Amino acid sequence: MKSRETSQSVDIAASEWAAKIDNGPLTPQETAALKDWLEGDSRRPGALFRARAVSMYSESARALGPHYNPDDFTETPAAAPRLSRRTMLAWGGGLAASLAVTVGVGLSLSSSQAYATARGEMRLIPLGDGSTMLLNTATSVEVEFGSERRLVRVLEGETYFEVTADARRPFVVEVGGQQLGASASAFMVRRLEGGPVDVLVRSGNIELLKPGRATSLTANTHLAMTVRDDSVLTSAEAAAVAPEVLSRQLAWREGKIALHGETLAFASQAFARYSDVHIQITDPALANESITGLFSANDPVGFSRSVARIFGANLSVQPDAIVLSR
Amino acid sequence: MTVSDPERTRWFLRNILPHEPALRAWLGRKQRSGINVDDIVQEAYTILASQPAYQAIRHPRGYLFQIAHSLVVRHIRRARIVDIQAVEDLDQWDTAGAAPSLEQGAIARDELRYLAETIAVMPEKTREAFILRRVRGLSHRDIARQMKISESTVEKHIARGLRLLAERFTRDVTVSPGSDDQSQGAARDEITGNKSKR
Repeated sequence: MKSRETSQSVDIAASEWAAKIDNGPLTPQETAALKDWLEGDSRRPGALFRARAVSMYSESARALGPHYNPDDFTETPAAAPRLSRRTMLAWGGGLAASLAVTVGVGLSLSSSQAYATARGEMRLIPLGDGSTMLLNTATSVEVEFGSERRLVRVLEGETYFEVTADARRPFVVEVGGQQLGASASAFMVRRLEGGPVDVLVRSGNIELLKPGRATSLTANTHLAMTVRDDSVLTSAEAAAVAPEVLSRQLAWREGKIALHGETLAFASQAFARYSDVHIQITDPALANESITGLFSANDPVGFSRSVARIFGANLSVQPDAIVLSR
Repeated sequence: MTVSDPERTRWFLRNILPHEPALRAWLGRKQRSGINVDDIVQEAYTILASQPAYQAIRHPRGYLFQIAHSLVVRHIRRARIVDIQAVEDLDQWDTAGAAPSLEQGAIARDELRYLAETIAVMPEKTREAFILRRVRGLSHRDIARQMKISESTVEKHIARGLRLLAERFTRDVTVSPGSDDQSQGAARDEITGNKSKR
């Protein structure tokens, strides 16, 4: 019996081809060598297919952001948080806030920690209890974990939470003076420039905690709230959303902007959240055109180039603006 | 082929790969048939890689299991000495594994954290190269310059990173012996340190 290549060595060769393809277009020689390799064994195309899919999956690591510190993720969630130098510095910075907050909380001992992202930045923050939060561009939050509850204040921007349950310490998100209680769940909270508040529940249960009674939100629900003076709830409307709409709304987690028939004016605003270089559309009719597609949030030029091609517009890239005209 | 078809790769990533742990567990339970699980998985993917109407597949999980099953049948028939027990086992192949999974979202939900954790436990140099490539977006050439290694070594590190990622993404599920397929989701939740439902 002739000895057969092990499936493990097929996997190794496949991953090396995937890495080569990842590095850029193959040379004609490489393309020919790849073709020969693929034809040599019926397992190889499948192994390469899988390696390419994993490579595609790993591209979302971009969303971990420039502050990604692998050491934050090497411990089990149950382990006590270590005091790294970074954490200490962050704590020092949040000291004033922490003092102010502790007075209000009374007996429960806790310290508050602030996190923020700059424009165009994204950051994944493990919370020590197994929960995580992913901060989108220009977002600022405060975390205050005490013995009685785990509180996160969303001050500005967009944050995606993945919460692990802890019966002894409820997880509460405060936004615009309103409180949301979370069980084991995944949800997004957004508030841009002091405007209305949006909550999108992807899985699990969220409760809007109101004096008197609570409103429960299940998976695939969108809650829109308006608040006055950061304290008074003036309206709250919950509606079901289709899963595909939900994924579009959450495309930013992969560093993408998902458009589905929105106008170019809308798209230009969406991109403006991620970059100081704004897309200006001088022609009103052009601004009103609608577009569909998945675009890199940090690449307004690439987006504008596609727009120019699709709508036959002129593109001018200047240092501080991208101008689309017709 | 699949090399230049991102749409197909994305479809595979979202609709097939999440079922690999369940498929492996299902195939693994049929030890006596003497089949090689890794071979079956790779060959099943080869079939999917060239399937022309892949987007029309309405139940990707069921379809994947069906392909795997027919490959097992083919492997057993091809063997010179057919294990009688294996043939009997074949008739009793349950289809429980092919039923729609209750926990299809399990992987997607924790995707980014999974990625963060897997990169974190990579060997040092591989981790450095992988972060520079995937998190910071540098080219292989720039990584080579920064790490003072050759481009082909960078490529080896990236390849190794991809294998470690695949390993964790598709195999690292503790399934207790004899457990049925429905426990898959629970097993993965343990690993990611997730949830105890209220």
